[in-house]
Amino acid sequence: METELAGLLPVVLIFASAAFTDNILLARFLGMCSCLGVSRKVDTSIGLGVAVIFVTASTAGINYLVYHYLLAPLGLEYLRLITFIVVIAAFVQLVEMVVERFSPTLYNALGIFLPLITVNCAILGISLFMLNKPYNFVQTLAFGAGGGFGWFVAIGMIGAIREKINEASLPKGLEGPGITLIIIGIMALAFVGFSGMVKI
Amino acid sequence: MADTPRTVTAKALWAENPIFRQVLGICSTLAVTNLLANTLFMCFGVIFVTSLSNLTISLLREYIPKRVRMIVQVLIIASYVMMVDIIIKALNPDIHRFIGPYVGLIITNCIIMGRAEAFASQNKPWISLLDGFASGLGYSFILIAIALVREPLGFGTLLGYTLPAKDLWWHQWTIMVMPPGAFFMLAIVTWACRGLQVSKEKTT
Amino acid sequence: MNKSSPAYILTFTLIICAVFGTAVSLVHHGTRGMLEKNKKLHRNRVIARAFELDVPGESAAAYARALENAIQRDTLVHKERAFRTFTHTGQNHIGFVFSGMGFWDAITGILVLTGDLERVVNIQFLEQKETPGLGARIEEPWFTRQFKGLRIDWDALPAERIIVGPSPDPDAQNRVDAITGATQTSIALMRILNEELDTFRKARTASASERL
Repeated sequence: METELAGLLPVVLIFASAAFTDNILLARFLGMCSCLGVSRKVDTSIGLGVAVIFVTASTAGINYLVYHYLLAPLGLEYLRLITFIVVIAAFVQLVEMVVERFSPTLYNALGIFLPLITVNCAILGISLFMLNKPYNFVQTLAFGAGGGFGWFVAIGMIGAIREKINEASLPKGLEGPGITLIIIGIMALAFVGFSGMVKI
Repeated sequence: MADTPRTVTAKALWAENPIFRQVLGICSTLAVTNLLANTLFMCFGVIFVTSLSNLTISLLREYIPKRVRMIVQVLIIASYVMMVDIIIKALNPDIHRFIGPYVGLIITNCIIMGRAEAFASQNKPWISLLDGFASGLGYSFILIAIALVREPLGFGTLLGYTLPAKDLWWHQWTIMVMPPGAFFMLAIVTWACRGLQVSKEKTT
Repeated sequence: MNKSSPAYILTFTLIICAVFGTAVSLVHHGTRGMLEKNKKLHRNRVIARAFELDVPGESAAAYARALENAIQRDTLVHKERAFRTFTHTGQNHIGFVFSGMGFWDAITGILVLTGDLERVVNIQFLEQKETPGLGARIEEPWFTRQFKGLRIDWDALPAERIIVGPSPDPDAQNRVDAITGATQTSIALMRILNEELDTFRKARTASASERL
């Protein structure tokens, strides 16, 4: 039943549902820590967001291949958590080295965010969720990119709101993480309305 | 920087509390604090893993090459969590049915990674063990505080027991059950704790 | 030995991967026998609970004996789907294992129906990984109790034969209350149950006509 469905699912729909209705940050609440740390400004938010899109799409693809062609045939499915997280860490490190060597400007812009990505639970989350879905390789890439894009949109909006709020006078204790948590709480309430709109 | 056991504990519990000072480990805070029992399970797991992984990484700190330290740390943490998970599953499956869902959350809990990177990779084993343990405790007491508000308001119970005179005062407050409720509670706790710290700095 | 040389980095990473990978594998294989025993016990316990069997004691042997006496196990195959079914030899009740995607991960469980498939007798869950304190509450007795004696409205649309949550008719006999705050899990469970009921009835009709 599910395999019949898989062939028909348009890639665009998978992307949209992963990005909006199943927003990894606001509907599933993953990837919060790095979001709180970095969303102080729009520029940095966008920088990290772009890096996350790239890494989620790539690692979802790599993990898909690793799981279906390496772990599953060998009967090592129980190692998937460790394998996925090592693949992500290794991939991030590799990207960091390549970018550092070939494009110092890009490295200066993105470099500081890369270590943060390793511990971003949104990325591990996307790799684990894709196992539950009847997707093929291309659809998995769309799912990964969509999940990353959803995170990018959310952190971009939070960064924009925080920039405005910085100009307001807040109680000292509420500055920084306190007010950000309240902003995210309100945004999450809004996103609850999105959930279930596109059904796959 | 000379870290004595005393200062390490004080820092991890209050001055540099992982949740409201360093803003780490938020994801799991949101997920599990709507029932106190779940929170206690989670806290137990986190204290255990931060202590052990800090100890291991500190023991290996001389040998870990700088370039790949992230991979190595992640691998060590994930292996510990998996092993503990499998052992509990084999010995007591009933407890595992409660703890199981938190396993993934523990691996990606950035407190563990954060302490490994910031403390264990530069300090001696025993003090790292203490730092891991104290950070876990600092994390736990905030989580328990939040759960102590969310469970009574959301369900009218505490640890699953119905609170006295529930009919008189309790009205289902759905938002406390849902994750946004955790955001608001966490914001209030952060505000309160940071406010206290700010006012103390002013007086001294 | 140069710690930043590629050879050292590579060797070190490989050794660490090998050591920890082996350690996890060893623990996994060492406990496999116990895991399987536990899994079987859990399954038997859920079946016994679903059929409300009287089991003397808590031991694995007691459950196995009680099930052997009262329950007949079968497999019902229809097209590409195979249902594991359980029939209570005393009462005319039939149970089957349902499964489907919840909010986070697969939900599986046992649904027991009356022999004519008109009513639900009981529901019990085998595996679920929904949010603790929210979706995971589907396992709690106050939720599963609602299913006892629930009418299945076979004349309704295939997706609405059992309703979990709000419905236009609040007194509908085929409706149970959803879990507050866990809308996604409730919707997923409703979808799983209706899909599985539909397939199960088709499978049953097909096998009955084959037998004739």
